Amino acid sequence: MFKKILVANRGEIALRVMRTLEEMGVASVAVASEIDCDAPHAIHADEVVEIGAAPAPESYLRIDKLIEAAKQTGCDAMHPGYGFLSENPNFAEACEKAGLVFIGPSPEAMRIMGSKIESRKAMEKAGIPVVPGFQDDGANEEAFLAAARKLGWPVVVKASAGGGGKGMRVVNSANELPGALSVARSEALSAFGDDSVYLERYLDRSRHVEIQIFGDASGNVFHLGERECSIQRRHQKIIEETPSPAVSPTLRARMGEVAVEAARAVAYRNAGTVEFLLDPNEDFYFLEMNTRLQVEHPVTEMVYGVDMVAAQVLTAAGEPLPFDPDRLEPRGHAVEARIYAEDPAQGFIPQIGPVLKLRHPERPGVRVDSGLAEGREVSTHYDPLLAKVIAWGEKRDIATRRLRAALHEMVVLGVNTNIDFLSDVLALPAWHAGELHTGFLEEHLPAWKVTAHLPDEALALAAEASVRGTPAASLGHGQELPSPWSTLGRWSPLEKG
Amino acid sequence: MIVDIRLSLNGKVYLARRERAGQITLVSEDQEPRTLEIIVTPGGSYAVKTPSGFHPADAVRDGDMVWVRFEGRTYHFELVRGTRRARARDEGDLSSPMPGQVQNVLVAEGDTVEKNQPLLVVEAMKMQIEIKASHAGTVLKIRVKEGDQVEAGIPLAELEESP
Repeated sequence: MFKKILVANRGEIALRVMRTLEEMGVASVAVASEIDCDAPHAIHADEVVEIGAAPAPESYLRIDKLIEAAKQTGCDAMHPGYGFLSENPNFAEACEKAGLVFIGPSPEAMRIMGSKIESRKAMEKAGIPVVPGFQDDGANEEAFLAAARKLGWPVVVKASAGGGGKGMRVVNSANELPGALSVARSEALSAFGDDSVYLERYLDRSRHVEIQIFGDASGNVFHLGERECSIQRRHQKIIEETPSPAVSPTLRARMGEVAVEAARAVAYRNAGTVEFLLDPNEDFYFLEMNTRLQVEHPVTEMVYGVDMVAAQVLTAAGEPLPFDPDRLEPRGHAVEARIYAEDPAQGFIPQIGPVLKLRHPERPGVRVDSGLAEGREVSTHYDPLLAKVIAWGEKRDIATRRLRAALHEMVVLGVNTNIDFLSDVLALPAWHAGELHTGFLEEHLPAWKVTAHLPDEALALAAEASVRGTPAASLGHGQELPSPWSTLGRWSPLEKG
Repeated sequence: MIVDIRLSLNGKVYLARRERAGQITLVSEDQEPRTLEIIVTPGGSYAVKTPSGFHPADAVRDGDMVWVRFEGRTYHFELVRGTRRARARDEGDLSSPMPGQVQNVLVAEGDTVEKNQPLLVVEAMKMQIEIKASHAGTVLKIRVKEGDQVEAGIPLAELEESP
């Protein structure tokens, strides 16, 4: 087993990885940019190395600095988390060259699956259905137009080198195509340094369903079920769940088999996710493969009862897993809500501000992965994902109720978040009915506004706080003991006599 | 010290008056004034007293912004210009904090009064506001009589300080 691992990330995922390392008796090293030196992940680690100025290209994306930090602190392995360099084959290679074990798949697997064009080719070769599309780097506008006509409208233009909705444009007719191609190319160039684009048929009312796969140390590849991630805004997920309301055991077996095939096609090791689009006819098409841990991995962990990060570390160390993949028995239902610093009433624009007041939900069956700390600033330098709240329940509606209750008790003041929006999404009849598809939010909540109704109590509180400011805890501890006065809900004085 | 507070939320302006710490009266055109009690819990957060008990809540001020979290919703207010401290009674102002009507004149010129003794009652926005003596002394002048309309901030009486 490794002695010391550098976690090449920040925020809630860095913290989450470190917590598992701590349990495993492995020392952790954090890296922090100038503004993150007092961040929770930097404080929690056994050691921290400062790696540069706030902007990610000067710190968290600096392969040289990360390797240097790992060597300097005597690490034997590197965990990339997700985002940043987690899917960068150059980083994986640099680690290997420096004698550090990269906790993830091989650089080769990352290269193939990291290119949308290459991965589609590999899938087609393996006989795996892909979303009908057209890819040809040398194609001119006319060729794209002919291809689009053949695919059938609407089509979507996508960037080969990236994701997250960047360089992506839906096109409804021929006259929109030239403009869309041009805009997508320039967006892709600025986001990924590569303006290659390709076309796909746009599958309307389809669901985003992904399969968690894992390749263990002995070369065995298996899956841990699906996650439904159709609740998205700007092609970015905000609510995920397992199991999917649309996936029967038969469909799960089929999709799982195909996902495992896809992973085997690139000799995949460690954790990965194969993403599909599932259409209303139960036909599914390969979308892409993510060669890393996913943001939404906690829902799988809660339903399958496994620690994916521990599995990653054990596999990278050549050790067997603490569970038998053939004996995994998923139980119940889990739903995750992603807490973002953004204003849902203003097109989800990222928000900045100080975290003046923070309270995380605390109740049985609820897990919170958070990078938030009271007194810190949310800045624009990094992804606005602040925290994840995950609820488990025996059934989907129990998990939903529990998640809503958790969001209800969560407090983040000082910076705008999407907490109330998430709560409202989970209250929609369409959510309850499980009628999900990637256009769900546009269909059911296109123009969300902050509640118009203002209770007297909220107004009175604002008035009192405007004069008094923030009351200091009279216990003299200065900060944040979760007090029963604020967490237990309403109370009444006992009647006298 | 009594404070008049104006807060805006979603484009609407709301009026509140803080009589004393933890006592807030909400004033609006279409409703009777409502007074609510707010306490600070030993844990350092707020709670609002309602007929059904104490509701825990959180509120913080950040410059001109006031954030409130109550019953699972977040409210993001802005303090509006015009919020001002009503002149402190012990500054000897003896004015009405709001426009209204003189309901009672309780003393006469020449009377000796104690500190905080009520001198006049003004009815404003359906509230009774007692104008109290800012210090012990002699009533020099009463400038109004019952039934008079008064403006905010204009002294209604004069007191001479006792030696």
